[in-house]
Amino acid sequence: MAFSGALTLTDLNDYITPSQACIKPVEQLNPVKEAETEPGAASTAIRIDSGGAYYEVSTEDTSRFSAKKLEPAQISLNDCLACSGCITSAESVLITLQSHTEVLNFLAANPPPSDPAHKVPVLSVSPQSLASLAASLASSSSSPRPIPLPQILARIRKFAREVLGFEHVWDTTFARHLALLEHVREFRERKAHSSSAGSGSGRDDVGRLPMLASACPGWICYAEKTHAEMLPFIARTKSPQQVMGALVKYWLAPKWGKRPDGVYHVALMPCYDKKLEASRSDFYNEQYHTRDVDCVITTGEFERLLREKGCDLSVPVPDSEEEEGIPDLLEHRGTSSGSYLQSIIDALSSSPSHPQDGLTLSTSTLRADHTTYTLSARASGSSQPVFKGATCYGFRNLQNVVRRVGREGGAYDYVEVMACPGGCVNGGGQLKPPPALDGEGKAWTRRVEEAYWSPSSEAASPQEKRARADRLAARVLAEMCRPDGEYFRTSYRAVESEVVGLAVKW
Amino acid sequence: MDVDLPANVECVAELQGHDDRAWHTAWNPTKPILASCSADKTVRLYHYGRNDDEPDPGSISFKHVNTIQTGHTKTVRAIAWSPSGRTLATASFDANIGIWEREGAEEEEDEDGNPSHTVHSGEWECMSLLEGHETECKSVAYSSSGNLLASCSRDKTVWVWEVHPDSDFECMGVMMEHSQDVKQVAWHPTEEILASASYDDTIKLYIDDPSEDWFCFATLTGHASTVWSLAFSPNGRYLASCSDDLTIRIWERVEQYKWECVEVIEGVHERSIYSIAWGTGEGRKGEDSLGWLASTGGDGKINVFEFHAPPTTSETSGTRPPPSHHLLARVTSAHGVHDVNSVSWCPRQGLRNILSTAGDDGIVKVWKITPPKES
Repeated sequence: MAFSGALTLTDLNDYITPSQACIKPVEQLNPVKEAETEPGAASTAIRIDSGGAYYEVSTEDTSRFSAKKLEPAQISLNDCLACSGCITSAESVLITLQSHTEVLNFLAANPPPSDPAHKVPVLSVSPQSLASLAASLASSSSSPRPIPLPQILARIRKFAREVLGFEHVWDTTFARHLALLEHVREFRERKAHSSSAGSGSGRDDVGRLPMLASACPGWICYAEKTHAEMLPFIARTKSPQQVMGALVKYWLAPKWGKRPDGVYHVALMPCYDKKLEASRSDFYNEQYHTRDVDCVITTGEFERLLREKGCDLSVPVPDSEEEEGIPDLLEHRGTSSGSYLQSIIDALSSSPSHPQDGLTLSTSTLRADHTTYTLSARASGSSQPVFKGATCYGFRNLQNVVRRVGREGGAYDYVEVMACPGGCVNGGGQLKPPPALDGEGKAWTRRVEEAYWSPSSEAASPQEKRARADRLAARVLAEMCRPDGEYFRTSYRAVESEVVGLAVKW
Repeated sequence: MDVDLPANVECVAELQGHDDRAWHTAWNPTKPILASCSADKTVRLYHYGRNDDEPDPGSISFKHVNTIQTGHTKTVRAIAWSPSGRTLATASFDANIGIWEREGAEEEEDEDGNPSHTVHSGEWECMSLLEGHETECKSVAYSSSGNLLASCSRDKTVWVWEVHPDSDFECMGVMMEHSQDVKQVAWHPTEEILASASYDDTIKLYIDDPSEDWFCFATLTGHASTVWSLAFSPNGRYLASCSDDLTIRIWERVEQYKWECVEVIEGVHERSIYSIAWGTGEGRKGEDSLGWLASTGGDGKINVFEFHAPPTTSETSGTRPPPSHHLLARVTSAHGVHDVNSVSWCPRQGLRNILSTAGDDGIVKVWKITPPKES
């Protein structure tokens, strides 16, 4: 199954580990100059030495012993994405292509700002990563109260700028704000289309209902590889990470007088599969040979980086001013996995067709990680459901989503699907529980959840901050406006299995 | 057949018809139906009844009444009836589980052994397909209440499904505890305890945490090779397992969540022991009887053991001795030179001395164990 094998490194037991060997064969990458003989007459063989290296040798002229060492095949993340078999061998690729050492290497090799080849290094931090770091710091200190996320962000900002050499550090909540706006817009499009097309499902080019969340790359990967029939249901709105990518490379970079490839964008995420997401071809600019997110590192990798650099996040710093450009830490009530469902509920509740006092929300938790949300309108004494949504997290619940949507489809209008039990605060890339909570994964997840929602002691009122964010969002949308909505939407495609499980132990 | 053994074994039916190796058989718990499955992707159903006529009163005859062309694209490896006897589940190497019911099954209520007429009316229909396993599904089992269905696969996972009305299923758990192929799942006869046997040489036991998820509460280690099959004793106190290491182990529930190996039976099979089944047996048995355990495997042998509970614990000694057992009957070359893949006891009243086997020869055989008359 298609979850990154790397996820299993963190002792989560909700993933199926792929067992098959990589099918990508050894291939010749450097062009071989054809021998000066008749075409087709060259005859060569491949020899393998004791060290396991491959050599191409001529079988014609053994007196002139010439063996050319063949390059070992390079497996890119895209090869792995295109294969439904193993992600196991992608682990090493993930670690070499998108790792904290890769980030350090880049920063060390980055020419000074005066050099035209200088790239502006930008760090984008997910709020779940901040919560994981906050919970971890709280568990190792005497104070049981988690450090507020703005303070964690301020410390990271200081460290990333002063020690690592990043020029800009933001969190990804403004990008999420944009993603949620786009998400609601997409839901409305689908809803309008499905009701205009009569009962049943809409056309596939608009997308169907129920709309399924698209922010979890583990879920996207799994759906593309094993449940292609789910793809028309999955929202095409980009995840906050990729919205941030577009924002940094196509909205901020021009303001700095940089082309998209003049910026090096690192994202700090709770999840290994975010690396796979960043390397999707959809997020690669052919013209500039650059990705919207150049490198993703997990919270765990970031902590390692802190340790290697001797940085101590437990040392308080003065609360930093917000960086110019993007507001910090916008709260979106709902879930710690991005509040996708809640944003739709809020939008429906405040829409003029349903005056707020006319709608009631009822929720029901069916089992761990599966909660349903029903919005009902009171009409002539009786209560009519106008919207049914659910949050479904973890592999088990994901199976039921796939079954339900595939079977009847109509039970829900929207499902917030996440592959990790507990959602993104329990992502595979998050920090492990402290020794005191070893083996108490769920208790640890609750701590991170608490840290995620811990109130920030900010001067500005949330309403005022929200209003500012809305104004900025409107500006961004206007400035990045494109009729096809390309900056904030993406697409999915089914991946056919090519793996023959012959080499597997029975 | 070993003449010095106490019970007599006779082959009462030899059911041909599968075009490829026969993997598994399952007795319907409420109706006189025996089902078998095969690498030929079909399930064959046989009706059986007691002949009261001459020349052989009391004998049992079998009649093929139905063949389900399952539509599975690969081998049907295992089958299981729901406790109601209405639903049949098929586990296939195509990674899916099929759920089968008969059209108009409600009307037909004749259960007392009349062949023909009633039994082969409606067609068997696939009511649901449970997808989710990545690779070959190896075993499927209904819990004693019929509310849960478990399956396992070469993908190393064990799944628990909740059975809903109208052939709907909800996935309740996906347990990724084994490090290798999972060969079989088995439910406790009264409680919702699930056991799984694996190529990783271990047995794992699972229960539900209603506020969370299904989880593995115990791992039983001891077998030196693949554990092929599991069977709980009818009273639920013991679990038997058989293995490639040529042993049968008996595990006892010593505490609520603790099972310990109390007996290792060796030297009764010369090749891999593929299947075991534990039934109550038939005939006059003492209060202390724990029933009959049948085992079979690659050596073509069927062994039937009778188990007895140990004498009640004397307050002074403290430790409880293991249950005693003795070999009741044995068949050699049960399917000629072929491997015997599975063994199952008939669970129906008065027929609990009947067992069926499925062999690589594509044949299903039915055997009757006749214990000695008490003198």
